Amino acid sequence: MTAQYVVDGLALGAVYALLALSYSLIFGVIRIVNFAQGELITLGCMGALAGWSLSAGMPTPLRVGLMVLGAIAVSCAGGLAMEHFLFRPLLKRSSPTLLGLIASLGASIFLQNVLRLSISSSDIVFPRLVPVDPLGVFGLQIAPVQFVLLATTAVLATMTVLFVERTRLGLTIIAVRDNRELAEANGIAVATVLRGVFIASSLLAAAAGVMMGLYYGVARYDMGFLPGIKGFTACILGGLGNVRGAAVAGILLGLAESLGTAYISSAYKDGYAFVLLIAVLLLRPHGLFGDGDAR
Amino acid sequence: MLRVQNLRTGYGNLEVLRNVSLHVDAGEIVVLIGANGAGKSTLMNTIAGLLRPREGKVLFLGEPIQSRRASEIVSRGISLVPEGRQLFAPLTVLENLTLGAYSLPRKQRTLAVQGKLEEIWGLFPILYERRRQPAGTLSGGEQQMLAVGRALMSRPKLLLLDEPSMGLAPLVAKEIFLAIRRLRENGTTILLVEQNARAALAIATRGYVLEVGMIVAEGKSEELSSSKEIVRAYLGKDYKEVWE
Repeated sequence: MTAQYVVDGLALGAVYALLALSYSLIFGVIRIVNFAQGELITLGCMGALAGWSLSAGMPTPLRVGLMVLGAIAVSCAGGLAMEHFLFRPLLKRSSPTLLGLIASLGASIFLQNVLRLSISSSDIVFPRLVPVDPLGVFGLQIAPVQFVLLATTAVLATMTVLFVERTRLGLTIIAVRDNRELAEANGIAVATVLRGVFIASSLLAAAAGVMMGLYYGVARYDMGFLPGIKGFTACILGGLGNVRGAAVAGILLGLAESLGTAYISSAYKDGYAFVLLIAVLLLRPHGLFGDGDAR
Repeated sequence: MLRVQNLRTGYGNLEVLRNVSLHVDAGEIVVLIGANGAGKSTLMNTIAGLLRPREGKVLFLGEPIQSRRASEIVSRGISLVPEGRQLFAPLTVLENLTLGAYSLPRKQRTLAVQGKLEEIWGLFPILYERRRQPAGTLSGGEQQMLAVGRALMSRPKLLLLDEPSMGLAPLVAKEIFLAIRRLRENGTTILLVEQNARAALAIATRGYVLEVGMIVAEGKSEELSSSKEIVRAYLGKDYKEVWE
């Protein structure tokens, strides 16, 4: 049975890993906790739904394409709006960390309620495009959707790590994160880098939103909030701003949640992540893989 | 090459630079001396485009640049080495230098980077030995060498050096000053801010004295070094005299 819980935990962890990466990119650069990050997931999921329902009657591959496009467009629009209206003005203030924390919490509540009032306050059906009925594989019950989740996360996580560590733009992200003023003096257009980071982060959140829709089969105006907090937890677990660590920690978090639910109690499902977080913060304050300023 | 006209810069209600004018001709080393808080770094940051002046002009090669972005000013050929040996600590020496060439046009970059790297290894051989080390692990002197090297990578016509000897052991500071002199022989024009006025005047062609945001004296290095006022205020016989 344990193997079964591990498989379920991995699938759940895959979503958290995407979120942790999405958090990690932004936090790594601006050093502000963005509580509205989870709303980018919701926006991604709603965008996907919009793309799907607007293209009713068209051939399925086209509809899937429009769905992905919708998710990307809406989530990126949200991310860029946050950068422009929330974080850019705040970064010019004297204590952006605290202000940003509160302002982004406000943005999160605002966005949830806009979505609630403008779309729906209850569950919306998300099309089951990938079968969720489990198949027997080596005695385990694995649903195709779980494969899709894991594969998507593996690809996106690898791309993100390579992007940050191997590309010129990634190098500028590390530079801006380490010393924004010198980056500016060095000729790096810091505003452009910030925008790029928000786009990359929104793309990951959009992917997470679509994955959640496929997995659970529903979308809701507040679907992103709790996973967002858990993604943030994974981001801290992995060492803030450390992209590799964030991905691994997301998977670990999913495993902890799945195994905790199975062997301890399902009542505390949402609590295990935070127990793990407190333990790590007490024992390894820089996170599991971080030395504070690692990549 | 550089001409600063009636520059005023400030933060909030505080006016730091009050009507500063100066110029730097091609091939010169011009030194800016002044006490703490006189506005030296503010002036450097304004020229580099990190701060916007309230009034006045900064002309570089005849063109006004005071409202340009810092990134554009770098590509026009002004490179700043900010105060306090700033570098990208988690990146290696080589990565720091590579980033220094960020503003060069894509086509020239690879070649230019190679050429410039050779030049910097020649100037500071220790950096070559340390090229794969994270910059944060270097000693103070090595960090300052790297900070200068990074700024040179964009092939500046004018190099702005903000207190390169700050906090360095005298022998290491001497090495930095020697390197500055060699840079000038290679054709780089330099505007230098220094607390160590004696050492700075020894390598400079001309100098300006900045006091509470205004230029109060200017002249050839020899004139400044021999002016009684300046000797009293900035070149004092020993520190005791200066403090009292």
